[in-house]
Amino acid sequence: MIRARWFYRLGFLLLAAAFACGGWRLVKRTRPGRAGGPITLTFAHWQLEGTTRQAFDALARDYEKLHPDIRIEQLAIPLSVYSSWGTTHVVGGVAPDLVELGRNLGGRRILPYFLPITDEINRPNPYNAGTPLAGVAWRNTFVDGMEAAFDPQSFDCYGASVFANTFRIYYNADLLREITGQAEPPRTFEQFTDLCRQVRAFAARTGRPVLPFAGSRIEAPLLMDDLATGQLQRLTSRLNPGVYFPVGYGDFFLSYLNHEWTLDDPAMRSAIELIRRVGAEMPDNFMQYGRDDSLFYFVQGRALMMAGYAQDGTSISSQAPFPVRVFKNPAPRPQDREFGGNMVGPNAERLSSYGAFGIARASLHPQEALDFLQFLTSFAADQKFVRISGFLPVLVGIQATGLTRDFMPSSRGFPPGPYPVFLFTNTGQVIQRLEYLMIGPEADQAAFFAALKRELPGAMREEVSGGLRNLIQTLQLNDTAIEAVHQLQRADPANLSLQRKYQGMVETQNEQEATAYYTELRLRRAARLPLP
Amino acid sequence: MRELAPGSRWLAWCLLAVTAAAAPPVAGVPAGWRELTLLNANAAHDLFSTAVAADSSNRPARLGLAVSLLGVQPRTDGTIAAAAEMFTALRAENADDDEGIGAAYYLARIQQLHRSTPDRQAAVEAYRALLAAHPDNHYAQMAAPKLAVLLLYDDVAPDEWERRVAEIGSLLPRLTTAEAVRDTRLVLAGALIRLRRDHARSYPLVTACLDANLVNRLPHLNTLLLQAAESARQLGKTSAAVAYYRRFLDDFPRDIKADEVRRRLDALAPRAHP
Repeated sequence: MIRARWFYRLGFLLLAAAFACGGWRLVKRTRPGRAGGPITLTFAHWQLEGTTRQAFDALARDYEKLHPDIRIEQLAIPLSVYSSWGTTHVVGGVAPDLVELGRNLGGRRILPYFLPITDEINRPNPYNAGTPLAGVAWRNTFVDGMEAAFDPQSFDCYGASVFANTFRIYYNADLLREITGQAEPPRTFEQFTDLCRQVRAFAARTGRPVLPFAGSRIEAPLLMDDLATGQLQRLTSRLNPGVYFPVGYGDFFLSYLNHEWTLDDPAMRSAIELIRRVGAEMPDNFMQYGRDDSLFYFVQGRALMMAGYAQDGTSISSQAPFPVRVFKNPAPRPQDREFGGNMVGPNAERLSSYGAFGIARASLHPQEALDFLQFLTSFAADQKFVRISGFLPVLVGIQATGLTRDFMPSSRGFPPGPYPVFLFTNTGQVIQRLEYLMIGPEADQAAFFAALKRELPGAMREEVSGGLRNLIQTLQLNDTAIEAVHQLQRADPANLSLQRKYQGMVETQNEQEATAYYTELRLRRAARLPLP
Repeated sequence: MRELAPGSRWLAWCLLAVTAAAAPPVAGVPAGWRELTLLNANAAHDLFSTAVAADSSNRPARLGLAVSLLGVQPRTDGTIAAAAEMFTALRAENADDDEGIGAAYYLARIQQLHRSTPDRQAAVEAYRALLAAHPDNHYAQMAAPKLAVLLLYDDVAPDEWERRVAEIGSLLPRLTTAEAVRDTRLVLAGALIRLRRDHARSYPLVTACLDANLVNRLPHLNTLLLQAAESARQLGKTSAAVAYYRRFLDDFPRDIKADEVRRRLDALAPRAHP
């Protein structure tokens, strides 16, 4: 009896100690610096690839040298939990000072928990003094004008980014030479398919288990989407008579539901055929594999090629015991006899940043956080970040080096069709679910298209309706913000910043309201038609 | 009253301090609007409530209170109905001051957008009445593009649709604020292209806004410059098409469409671009 009571007391004491310890750590992490003591700034992100964390560490130490009273800590959160982790911390008011936005952490419900930096981005970044970007407004130092952090609804900017990427195909240079006797990677789609044939012949001849491509559910859709969206250039531009450039996927789906194109369209047939052919060069059941599996295949020399982002380069190169090179996805070109007819040009690429760091409203040191953000996105810092991490430069005038050079986007060509039709949408999931009818031993093209015709309309309708519901909610919220800006502007008519903000918000609201009602009208009309 | 024990007194003081810290500061109507710009509708609602409690005749504060209710979370039919009641009361007291006219506008917005079951016909009638009664007021000007959206993106017979185009067209000369001038024209131009492929009628509406530099949102400007160029090309206005494509390249040199625009420019006027 006495022993049991002693155990209870011990349990209670342990619980109290754990609670006190947790509370102390929380207070210690977020409390302001004591007089003369250091301030700790924390920033969180999900970029766990390669040497990204080392790059941030290097920049953090550089910043601490400039500001001995400030300490920088980074929190690298796995992508799989980032959205829920970020939402709970941000909404709960215990977010780090700087938080990478994106991956469902953003939008009208989350952004109010961050501080807008709209006024600051129109002034020069002080850390660019003495560089080619000295005196240039902070926003104009970015290749994409800070588009990633701009909220079209509030006309405010909520952060700055150091992340930009494109994808390319990595290859084992030694293995390529061994198989083909040549060092040059394929430049055209014919050369690519020919190379895949050579790899299979090599494997059969030597008995070595080598596949042309190491695919997974992460990288394979990148390659497939790139091929498919090229095929959709002409079709999706035809659906956009105002400008004759590809429509977005919402309009693409609505036009299908309204019988403006069918799955028998040559563009759609070619897109699916390209996906099928590339999928056949990957391991069986590649959609069951994760990124680590395909990387494992590749670095063990069991696959000649794999798709990946620029920032994957440092980890691939460090693990592969052979020289790694990259080439651009050799998609068909307009001259291609079999697939060229659906294209206007090669898919043009653009360098756009993503994952901007926003300053949490809960930060106890917003000024210091802004200063650190300006440091991170300065010319010298981005140069260093690019060199260590392998990410593409986001600032004007910075040259990529090493392997990263081959990832620089090529703006030549025509914009691809709606992206990402085959990746993240409900429609993409339908196609991925039916993949076994497209590729592999059970492949049956007629059954695949029959199933697609059955399942696509519902998925498309759900996709568009979901988008419309979100848009209506956004419009409802913005009504109140627009009135608020109007009232503040009335009280301060000389404030040009408020004037710009008001005009931009009203413009966005009316433009999006028209889009919402147009979408609803087309959904209503489609509902009266038989299924396509 | 029973004397509190010393420990309880300490606790009571703590609770009082916490409650005081958590209560919204009495910072007036501007603070409420500032919270609303950040979409903190609940905080704004508290601030406006305090201001109205201090002075129930404060009409700007009552307008703020009703507007903030449209954004308060959780959003329910009850909160929207309460907002409608407040707007109705504001309007009943004085339908002709700014708050009264604003209340009429927001009652129409509730019918159109905020109710869980919108009544679009009621919203159309309310916007029409607002435009007729107070044509120069800010809120009536705000109503013009809303009316255009409701009338044009509706499933009606072609004759009725043309009648509606004419109604919106007749509004255009009466619009005075930059936002109404721009957005009513662009809503009409967008509907003409999307629903009728009508470049001839859409083109002058778009170019009026572009030429007066009324378009602020960059992705919108991007699309409108291309639309103006493409319409001009189709209407045989080659020099105008070249001018709009050039302006696109000047404004968006790194855009993903820039290479194709250069190709189109070449086709229209060889060596016309840098």
